[in-house]
Amino acid sequence: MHGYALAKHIKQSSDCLLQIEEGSLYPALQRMLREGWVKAEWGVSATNRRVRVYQLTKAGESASRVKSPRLNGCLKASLMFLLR
Amino acid sequence: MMWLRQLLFRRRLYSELSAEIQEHLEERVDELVENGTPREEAVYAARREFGNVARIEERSREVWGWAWLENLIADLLFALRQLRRDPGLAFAVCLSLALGIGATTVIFSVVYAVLINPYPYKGADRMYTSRVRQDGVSQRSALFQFSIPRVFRMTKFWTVQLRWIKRAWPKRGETCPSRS
Repeated sequence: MHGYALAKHIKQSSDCLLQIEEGSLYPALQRMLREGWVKAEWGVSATNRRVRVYQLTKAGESASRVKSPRLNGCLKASLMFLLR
Repeated sequence: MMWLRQLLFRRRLYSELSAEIQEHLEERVDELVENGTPREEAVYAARREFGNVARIEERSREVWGWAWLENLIADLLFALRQLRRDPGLAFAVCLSLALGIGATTVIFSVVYAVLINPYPYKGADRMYTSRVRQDGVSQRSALFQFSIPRVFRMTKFWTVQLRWIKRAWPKRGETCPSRS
């Protein structure tokens, strides 16, 4: 998936709950590149555009398995705070 | 060696990032245009949604952790350019630095040799003196630098009686400490 599609996906899948600047995605993606969690390659999107496609690596998969419970906990805590 | 590769190819990393962000903006513009927004408005809207492009690029580059190195190099190059632009000023700067460093060194050397450590032997801050009594006559011993046990041993076999030992700063001119 490329950056634009990712931003759109995050917006849609969270029902516009996560409304951050689209651009803040890029520092995060760079961080993941640095950690080797994703790799990026130039490709062509479905709409025939030249895009940089990100793909999760093996290291990224295992990192996400470790991190996602923690992230879920984080989300739950903030939701509980909001719904209080 | 991953970091070395990243350091050497960081320009490519950065330009790819810029291109990617540009593509992102263009894709958003095209989508808005397709939905019936005038192109000019769509460009503004896309930029608004994206946020500050320059700032986001900068933050993304900072992730790689070379910002300090790049800033340092930029600062050094800037300094060199400034110096080359005005050789007279550069000469004056070098001269005043040289004079300043030289003068400080000279003054410190003099102060050290005259006030701090004027003694012609090592360990002037570890000198002791003692008062001994021999045949009813009490006198101050010469300065010495050796261990206290040794002094006690000395007084045990000699017919001298040790009164006290204390740290002593040699007086100016008292240049020959006893070596026993």
